Amino acid sequence: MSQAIVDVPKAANVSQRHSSAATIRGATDEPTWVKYLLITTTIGFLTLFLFVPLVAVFVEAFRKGVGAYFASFSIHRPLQRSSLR
Amino acid sequence: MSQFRKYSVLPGFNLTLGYTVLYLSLIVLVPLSALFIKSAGMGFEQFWETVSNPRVVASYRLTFGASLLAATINVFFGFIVAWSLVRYRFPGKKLVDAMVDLPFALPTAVSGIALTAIYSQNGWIGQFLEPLGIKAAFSPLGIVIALTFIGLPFVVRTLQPAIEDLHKENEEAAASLGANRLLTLRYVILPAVMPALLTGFAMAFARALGEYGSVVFISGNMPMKTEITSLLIITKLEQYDTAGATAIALVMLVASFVLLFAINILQWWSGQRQRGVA
Repeated sequence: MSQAIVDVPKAANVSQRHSSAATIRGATDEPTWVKYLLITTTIGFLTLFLFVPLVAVFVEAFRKGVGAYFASFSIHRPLQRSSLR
Repeated sequence: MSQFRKYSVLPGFNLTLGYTVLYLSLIVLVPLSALFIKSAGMGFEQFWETVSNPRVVASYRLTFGASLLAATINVFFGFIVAWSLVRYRFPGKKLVDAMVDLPFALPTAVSGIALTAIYSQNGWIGQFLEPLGIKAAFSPLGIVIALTFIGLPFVVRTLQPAIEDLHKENEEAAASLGANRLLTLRYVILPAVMPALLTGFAMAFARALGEYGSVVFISGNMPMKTEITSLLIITKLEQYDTAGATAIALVMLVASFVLLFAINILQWWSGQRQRGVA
């Protein structure tokens, strides 16, 4: 009886050593490479379209320093047409 | 008539129906009918002349084309994003999920300026595109980029609940019958989320059609080349040509109605097909 209990963990170890990356895939799961591709596409697409503009807003706002940022709220500052073109 | 007024346990049908009709009339019908009335005052000859002006036609082509393209890009990538957010776990997932709402939160002028700064010639991304000869800012490409940005949350947020509601048993049944994931995607998953896909597409398309704030900066507003219809309407209004402005707007309104009606029919048809598959 105790023999069987000792044997089982050893057997489990053997199978674990053979299949470390190829764990059992459920029937409703995609192949792992597809999963990674989709996640990469998601993060890449959202970084390009969401994060970069968000970061750009902050960087451009504080480009001339925090002082200039707060000074831009002053109504006495002459209106500058920022040359985006 | 008696079939109309079926007995319902919920009280207040007359009152709520009356309020609904009044509210919708005031907010939707009266302003839209003003469009028709103002344009009718022009006479057909002048209406046609205003609307078939080459500059106006170019703006129609640009606006509808760019909006269609942006909505299609959003549907394709939005599905991937929604699928990843619902089905997979990855680092930063919660942050990414919250960020999808960013285009809703950013004022359109802010997003327009940010995108222009990024894609202009010395911009963060524009500086890499310029040697390749790709002009992102002040071109139709820039307009498509801006419209993709603002339409993104519509598709993702519409698809997320639909993917969450998918029954895993159907996918398991397909797998047990020998389908690989690609077949399952095509015959089980996509038909089930098709109504949500179409709704997201319609909303992103409609939003892109009317978008003004984020597009005027990045488009450059060159007549015949990168002028969107919203800008033309404003230009006409600034010249006090209200009738001309409403004429242009009326054509957009009718075209939008036709397209949204077509999408509605598609949704209904796709829903009918689903009904057969309990």
